Amino acid sequence: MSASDEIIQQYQDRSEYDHGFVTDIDTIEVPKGLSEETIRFISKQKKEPQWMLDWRLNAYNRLQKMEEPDWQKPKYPKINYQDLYYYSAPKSFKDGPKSLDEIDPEIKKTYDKLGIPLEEQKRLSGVAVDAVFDSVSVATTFKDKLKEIGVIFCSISEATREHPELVKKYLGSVIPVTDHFFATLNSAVFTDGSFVYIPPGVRCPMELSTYFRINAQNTGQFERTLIIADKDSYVSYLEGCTAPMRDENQLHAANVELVALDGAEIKYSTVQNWYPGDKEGKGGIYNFVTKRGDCRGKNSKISWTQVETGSAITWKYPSCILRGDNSQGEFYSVAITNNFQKADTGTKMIHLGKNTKSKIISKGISAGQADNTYRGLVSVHPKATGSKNFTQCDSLLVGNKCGAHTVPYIENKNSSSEVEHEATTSKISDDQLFYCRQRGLNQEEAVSLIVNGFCKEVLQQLPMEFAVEAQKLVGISLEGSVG
Amino acid sequence: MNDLEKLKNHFEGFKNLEFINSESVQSRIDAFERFCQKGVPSLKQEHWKYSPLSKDLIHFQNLKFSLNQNKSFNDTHFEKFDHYRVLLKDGVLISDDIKEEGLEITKYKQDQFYEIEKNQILDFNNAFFTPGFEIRVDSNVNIKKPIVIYNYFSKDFDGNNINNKNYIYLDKNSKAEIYEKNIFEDEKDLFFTKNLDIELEQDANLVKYYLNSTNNNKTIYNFIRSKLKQNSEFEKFNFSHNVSSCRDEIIADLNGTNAFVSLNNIQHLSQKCFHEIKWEINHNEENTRSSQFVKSALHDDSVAAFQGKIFVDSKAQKTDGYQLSRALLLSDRSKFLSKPELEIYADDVKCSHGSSSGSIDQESIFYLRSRGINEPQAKCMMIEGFLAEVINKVKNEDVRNIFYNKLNEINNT
Repeated sequence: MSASDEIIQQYQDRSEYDHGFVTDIDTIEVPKGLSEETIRFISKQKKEPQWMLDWRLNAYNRLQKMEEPDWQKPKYPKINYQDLYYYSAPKSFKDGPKSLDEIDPEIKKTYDKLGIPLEEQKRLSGVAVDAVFDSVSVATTFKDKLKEIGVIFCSISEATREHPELVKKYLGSVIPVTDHFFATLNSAVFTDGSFVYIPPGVRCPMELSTYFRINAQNTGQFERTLIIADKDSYVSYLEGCTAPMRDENQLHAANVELVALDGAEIKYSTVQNWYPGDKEGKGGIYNFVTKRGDCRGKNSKISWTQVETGSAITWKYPSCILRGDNSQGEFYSVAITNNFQKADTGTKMIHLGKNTKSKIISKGISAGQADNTYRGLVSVHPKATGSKNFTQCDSLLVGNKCGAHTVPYIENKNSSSEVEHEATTSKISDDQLFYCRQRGLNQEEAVSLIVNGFCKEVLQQLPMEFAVEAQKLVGISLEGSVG
Repeated sequence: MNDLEKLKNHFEGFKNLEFINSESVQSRIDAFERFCQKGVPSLKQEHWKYSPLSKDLIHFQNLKFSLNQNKSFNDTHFEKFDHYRVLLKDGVLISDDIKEEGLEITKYKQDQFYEIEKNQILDFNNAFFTPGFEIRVDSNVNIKKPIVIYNYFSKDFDGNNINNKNYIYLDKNSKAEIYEKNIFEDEKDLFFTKNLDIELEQDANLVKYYLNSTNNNKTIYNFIRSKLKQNSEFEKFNFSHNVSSCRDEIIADLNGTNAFVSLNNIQHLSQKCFHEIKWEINHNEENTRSSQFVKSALHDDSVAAFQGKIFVDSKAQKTDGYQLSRALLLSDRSKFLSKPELEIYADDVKCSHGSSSGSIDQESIFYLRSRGINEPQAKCMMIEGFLAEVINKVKNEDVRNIFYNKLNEINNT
């Protein structure tokens, strides 16, 4: 085995999924299958008002006429939607937890293993957590503190009851009910997710964070997240995911909607390390997510940062609609695929307002027999004068059985705008390795260092709390170079 | 073209025409069936996204084929330098066969056609083509004089559809230069498809220049498929100026080690012109190299689209693929659409692409104006400098001068 093969081998052998455990708790489940009945059941369980149910049913009716998209690169076996459960909630929380003490010890243990900062003493200071265990929010911390400054941070089902005027106004305004198959499916059957409202002029004092976790077998998770940043406000939101080891493929089709009004800024960070399947490509999560941000007001800004290391198939394009004049959109992404993982991810930047700016930095790392695709759209409309875009997508290949692809669409429709795109594909060069080895690093450390350097631009964008996990996820021990 | 029944009748009449090689009839029938199955291209199909053809073909509800019996050729169109002449009038080869120095130029004789899954216009061409030229160069022959192909569209042609098929074959260690130009005499509606197959044997070297100049109401589809063996090289330079609606599609298969392909294009468009480039380079073997270079200057309501793809097979280690497309948007209404694509399955490769679009650098204009050059002139200079970068790479002096003259001519009007 040559030196480089050895490195590849070591890299591929990077630690087996260590969050793969199953928590044994009773769950109440609806009978399998997608039907009007299921939707009514979900709505009833969530104690939703009638208008919400109607909204869901409308989506369900539209869904009947829609077909699954098939243009993406990773193909997957046909999903039998009648064979899935659409709702499952921990039984012991039928009436919802009232305080941290009421939490099922089993669940608590699970979170402890994952290191989720749910309990105050374990929490990194300043992080409020809205943890989703399967489909129901089990606890929300820091709520009171946030309440003082008028920030609403709760589960979406609570928001439909407590703040119907906001939900009615904004839900589905960024991702229309009819958008595409998986978005519509989500609109019909979404179970839980977060709702955030930042009032005008408020700078959210802490990072808001949600830990999603898929647990019950055969349960598709359909979260719905809605974040509204009112005028001149700021919020940073963290989303992170780990899921236990399963053999059957699990579907995850979430919708995330962001609305930034005049002068507002939203920073949305994701670390995704769901179960990617085993070395033979068996099992793993299908992650088909629709994420879209709308810079509705002038001078608003939306920034997406994502570190994608998990899931058998990742298929998502966090996008920005730059509607307000002078608004800005950013997209930073690291996607690491190994073994038989497939990722088709990228972004859309739609420039509609004057002097809008967008920046895209995408880093794809492919190892084993994985496929990694960047797919993106930059569209500058005729009225978006003075707009600017810069796109950079780099791919790194580790081993000769993987693939790296770049499929950008670039449309510039006015002369005062500038659009730049560049992409490169390379491997870890022998020179770099040699240099590192010469200075006493072992091969794995050397690869780690180089890969980390490759991703640095993106990892730097993550908030401190996440950077630590991202570091771990890149699969390497790196000292002090991220943050 | 959407009316398939009409088209079927048209085909029935067409396939019985006298000039058609009887051995190709079955291939034509198969191709036509494939076309019928796939239907007319639409913008919804990924392969035809951005394509002007998808919109334009609606205008051609009644296709009319015609054969022009008049074989005369206006010799004012001939180039001044010494060359071999290949004359195509309204899609049909009218010049005499050339057989000298290991060079053979005859009428197109092939009768077997391949299919490309998403390309129904290729099927259409295979069903309806009239024979164009076939160029063969023997091994170890270096053709000294350039071959000039005149695509002449006369005003006395009374059809509205021309399709032709052509073939170029270079045997081992041979070399040839080909310059091709379009001459349009009128502004009648015309749908023209041209299909060219190129095969290069080991160490062969082909350079092809193409001037696709001013036309109105013409919908043109150029398709080239080239196959390159070991150490062979293929270079192509296109100059597209004010083509009303055109799609240039090239597929290059690098099937031998050290094969090299270089595709270059200048687009200078104004009014409502729409030019689309779709290039696909397949690196199938080790140590292959490719380069794609596109520069566009877009005035008025013109649109340029560029879709370039580099595919690298898992076998094709040490590939070097390069792609750059740059556009100057010179009016508020002009558009530049691009899709520079990479699909890579080998790890030891160097592939990069870049794409940029924007307006003329105001600082440079200021610099020129502060030296007494008026604004329109300064702009012309900037555009000329921008496009000349491609022309500078043209090795043949005569052709380079033709391109430069063309550029000057454009700037002076």
